[in-house]
Amino acid sequence: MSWDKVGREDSLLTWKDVMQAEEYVYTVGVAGEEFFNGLKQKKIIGSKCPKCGKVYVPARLYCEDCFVKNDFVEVNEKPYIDSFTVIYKDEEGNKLEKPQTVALIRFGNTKGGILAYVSEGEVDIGRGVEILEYKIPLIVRVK
Amino acid sequence: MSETPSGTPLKEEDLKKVNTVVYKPKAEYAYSAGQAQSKFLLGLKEKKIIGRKCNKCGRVYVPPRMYCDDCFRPTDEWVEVKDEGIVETVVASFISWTRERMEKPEIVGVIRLFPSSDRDWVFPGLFHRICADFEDVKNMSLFGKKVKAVWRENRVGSIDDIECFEVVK
Amino acid sequence: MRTNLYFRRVAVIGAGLTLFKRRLLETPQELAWEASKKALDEAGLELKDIDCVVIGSAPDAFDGVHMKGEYLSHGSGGIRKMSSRVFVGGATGVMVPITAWYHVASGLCEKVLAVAEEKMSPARPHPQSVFRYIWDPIIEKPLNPNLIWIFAMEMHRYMHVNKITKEEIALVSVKNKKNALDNPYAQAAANITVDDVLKSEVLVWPVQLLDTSPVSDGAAAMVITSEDVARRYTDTPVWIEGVGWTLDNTEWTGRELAYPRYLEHAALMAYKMAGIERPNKEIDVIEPYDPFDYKELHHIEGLKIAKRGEATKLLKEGVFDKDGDIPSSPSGGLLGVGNPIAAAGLMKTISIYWQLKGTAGRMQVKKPVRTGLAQAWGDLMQASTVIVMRN
Repeated sequence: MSWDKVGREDSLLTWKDVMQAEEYVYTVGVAGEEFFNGLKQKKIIGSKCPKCGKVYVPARLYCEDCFVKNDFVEVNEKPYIDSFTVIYKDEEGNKLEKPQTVALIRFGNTKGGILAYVSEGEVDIGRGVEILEYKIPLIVRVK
Repeated sequence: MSETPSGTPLKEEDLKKVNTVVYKPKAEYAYSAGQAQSKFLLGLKEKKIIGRKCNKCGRVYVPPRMYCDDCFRPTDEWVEVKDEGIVETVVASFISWTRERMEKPEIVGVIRLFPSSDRDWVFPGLFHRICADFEDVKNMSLFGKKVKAVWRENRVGSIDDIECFEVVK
Repeated sequence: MRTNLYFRRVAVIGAGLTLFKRRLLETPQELAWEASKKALDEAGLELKDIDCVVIGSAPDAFDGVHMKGEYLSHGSGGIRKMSSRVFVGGATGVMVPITAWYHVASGLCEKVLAVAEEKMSPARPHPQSVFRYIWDPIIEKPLNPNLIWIFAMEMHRYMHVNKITKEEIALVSVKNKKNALDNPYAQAAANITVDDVLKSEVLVWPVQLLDTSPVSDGAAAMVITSEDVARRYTDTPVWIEGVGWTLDNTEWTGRELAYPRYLEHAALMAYKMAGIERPNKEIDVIEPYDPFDYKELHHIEGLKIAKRGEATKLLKEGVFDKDGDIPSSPSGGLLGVGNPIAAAGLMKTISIYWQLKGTAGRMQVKKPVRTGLAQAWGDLMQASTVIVMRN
């Protein structure tokens, strides 16, 4: 860039604006429909690959290794805590009234997991949980 | 090519029947104008259109740039171009940026500013509103007409300080 | 045919498309999977045979998911593989096979899966509002422009410089929508007349509703391999013999709008590689990018298939009809099939692939074809990509 002595601007300007659409309406997809409809009936729906037998939670339309279409199954395995953390501030940096515990819940031998808010109980890795509310994120209680 | 195409089409009403997730993103920005555009905006406040010239190839950039595209070296000096020019192209818009219908069309176009000639492939030019009627746009009589900027009374240093370009004899 | 290729030979052995519609239920990953699965099935390969994956998707802001390349790689089989994402706006559709080409031509990969996907329906109030952010935020956005303004300005200048009327340009829309009636993947196929086009809603004069292509969701995929692999899996590989791409500067207010000089550069690059010296005699079928009807004529001139200002004359003589000398957009193009930004260019390349292989069904052109060309264009009206294929 040239720095001629005459014309170096001391008052550089900034222009404020936003870069956002009004809102987004995302469809959940074919597998998502099964999963969300299952949540309404208090069930966890996953999908099983006919070729390798892996079960995915939440349900996915296809197996990521074999690339074939999966079958939808109901998952009855026991949920447990795979990992957890405690958050003190919300997404804008304001302090929360009460610190919130967030856990990654996995189901038995399946692949994948769902995030959950822990409402009560002593959290530790490996502990089993009971699902209190079936929505995203789940609300769970440590057993 | 003989299988049936896959995919599940939906109509707008069907969206209420399936599960959806709605979200409004938040992204606010403070763009810094940089050297060239800051001087350009401050020039607009004083009813001047400022450009930048590359002395090697002679090209004048409006809006100004601190480097020359073709020679790939810094441009050399600030120049002022006239606020008059020729209409290169013009259109009449009946839709707003949200795709809503407008009753009165918005007339905008590209204006090639003087000094330049109509043999130039690249020229100092501005994209702005043109004061004209829809009929003038439709019968293509505005092409090649000379226009001059109409400045607003209160200027703040923005491209909106020019109200529009109107045809002069 | 004498070519100037100093690299390995590369062929296309499979392709797949999903339906193109205004609004689809599937998530972007599911769309990408549907197209990829079809391409792999046609090629006779499984996901574990693929070594590299190339993904093309236009602005993240349409789907509403940031870092879309990573998100889509799940549905394109890119997990635990060498995958990359390309993006040149609307030109992405042809940039995807070009990128896959150089992955194979360099010797780095043997079998590449190339996927392009776009889902434009999530954005509200209308996908066009997302285009608001491609303008310069300081110098242009305060005027509240709509994307269609740029196309209208280019169209009006093209009409003025070449002395063409709207009736002549509307013939392209009539031709393409009619061709799309034979295409099972099409969204906007119809039997219309020049009068219907001229009576449709005026969006930004001179652009009217039937001059434009519809907003859509859709995905497309191709399997591209080296010569050895191609000869093992199929008797009719389609060879990629010429590629080219060029970007011009984004300062569109300071440039002559009536002729796409960047397309001429890209086309010459592709012709040199393919050994083509007289494009209007040596190319048998073309798919120029047609988001608007005048754009097909604009690009035909840029590709040097017609002289400057003469594309309309050839159009009226019937040269570009399905049974003419140089059939153009036999699949129906974007005007007939739909415009999911990135997937549209790949859809055009797949159409040429089907024509050269002879499997285009009802869309197959009458004359025997040897050389085909697909072209895409995009960004802020300054990027163009060209691909030439032979059977």
